Amino acid sequence: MLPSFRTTALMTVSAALLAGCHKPYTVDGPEGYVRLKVEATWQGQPLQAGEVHLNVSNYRTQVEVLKMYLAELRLTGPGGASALTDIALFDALNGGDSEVYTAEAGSYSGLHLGLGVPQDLNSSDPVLYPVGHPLSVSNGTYWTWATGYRFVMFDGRYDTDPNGTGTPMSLFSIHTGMEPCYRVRDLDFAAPFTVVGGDTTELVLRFEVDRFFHDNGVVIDLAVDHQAHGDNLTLAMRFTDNVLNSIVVE
Amino acid sequence: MVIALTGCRKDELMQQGGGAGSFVLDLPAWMPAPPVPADNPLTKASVALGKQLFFEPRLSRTGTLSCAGCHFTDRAFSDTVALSIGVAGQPGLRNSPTLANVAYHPALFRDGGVPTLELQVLAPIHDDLEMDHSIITAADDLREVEPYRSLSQQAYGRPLDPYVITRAIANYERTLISGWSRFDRYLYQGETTALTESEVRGWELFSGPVAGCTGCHGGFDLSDHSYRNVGQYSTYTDPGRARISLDPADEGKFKVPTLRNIALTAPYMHDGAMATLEDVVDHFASGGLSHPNKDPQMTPFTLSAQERGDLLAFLNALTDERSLDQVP
Repeated sequence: MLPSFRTTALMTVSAALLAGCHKPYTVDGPEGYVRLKVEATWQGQPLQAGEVHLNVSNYRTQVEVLKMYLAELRLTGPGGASALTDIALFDALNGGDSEVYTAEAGSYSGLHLGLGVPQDLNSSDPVLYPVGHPLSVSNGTYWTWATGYRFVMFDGRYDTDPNGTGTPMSLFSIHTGMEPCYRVRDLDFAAPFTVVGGDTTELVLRFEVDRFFHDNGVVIDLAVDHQAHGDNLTLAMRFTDNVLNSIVVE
Repeated sequence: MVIALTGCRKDELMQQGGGAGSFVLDLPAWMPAPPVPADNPLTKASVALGKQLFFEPRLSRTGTLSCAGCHFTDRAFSDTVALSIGVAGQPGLRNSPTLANVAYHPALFRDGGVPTLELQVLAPIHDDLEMDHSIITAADDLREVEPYRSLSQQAYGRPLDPYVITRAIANYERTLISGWSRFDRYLYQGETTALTESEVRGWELFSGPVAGCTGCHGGFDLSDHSYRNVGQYSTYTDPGRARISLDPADEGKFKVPTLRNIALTAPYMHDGAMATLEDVVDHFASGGLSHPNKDPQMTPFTLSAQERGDLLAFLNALTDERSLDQVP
């Protein structure tokens, strides 16, 4: 067993032995379950890999990969918070479902999240995580040259001719990472989100991909800025802000 | 609690090498011991496993390229070409450096982007310009193969996996010590005849105020391991240290390389752009090209033909044949 899991196991076993069946929650009540789902949309409609849409620059745009890490996920409300997980990896164009997380039964008004991998996890050794863990090196999300994870991976094709046909031939690849690209956001629910003991409730995070290219009147022009792999921090940070601001919670 | 504590103790024992014997580095008496992580102590089994893995081409996607395929033992664990060619036939981004005394480096790679040898192991295996493989797949393929199956158990008390591969190769690399050159015997062991008169004059130039090389290439490793822009280019295509620090003031800065075995490690500079030591000496004597981040120590100096020859003779005296493979 590896150190990080040893610690977890020790805490779990110790808690079980010392505290019996006491639940580590601040409010009494049975556990419920939350399935977090990430959806990609384009102007409100579900986005499928390979679809071609016109972006804000009037470029034909085809998204092929959209993966991202979400961290520090916790439901929030006036009665307290309930942590879901400290890290999760989503493939928005291939299902986007997370694992099911336990949560304290109750009513919540918001969701706290981080976009990316927080520094303490980002500096950890990926070989310590087993296959299947969001931070496992098997996910292909680790920048070995910088010893950190890619936070958002956004790849595809574009064509500056809006009347073009067929598959757009120019490539874009915007991958964010490194500490300056980690952002947190508190999302407010339009209506209370209720976790019922014993039940699984789905929480959908919608990423409006068309908004990745513009925010507050500032446009990411793919003809100018189409690549970031740790070498274009200005683009990576602007893109991070756009992604974060595009999130709608349902 | 008993169950939990027992599990913890067993885990610690496994990481200590499962009781295997310690590996003693072949260090000269004057040389400080390198740092070794507490959770990956040097053991005979881990070093033997690491050496086997270092020369193992099945760590690459095609089964054709090992670590030693770009870090040749007879070249002080460096490559003979400017940019090493990966399994896909594409060149890498930077010149493969010598691994001599890499155990002493506070950070790895020419931009210092990787803090430990253990983490460094991942990079060439996964880089699509190098071995282009997955360490998980490689471990799966080698786990039941001897001597990996038995050495992994001896060294780490567990089957071969990415954890074992990274720890073992890191430990082998820690054994690549260079401290036995004629220069070392001259400077540290008082053998005044170990260097020729020309080499001694070269050392005096090297460490004196005119050339001032020890301003960066000082200390026992002949490097302060800092990051410097030496005016190799007016415009760098490789951002160097700035790739990691994200600070424009670090553009074009690269880790000061050790000069140990420098005669064996051509071509030179971060991109292997200089073919000979003569090219390098002439570059530094010129003061380099203009660049906003150029190190202030990069000022031109003049060498007579004899002085240039002396300096080159000194650099050639830094070769340490004994260091080329420390593992019996």
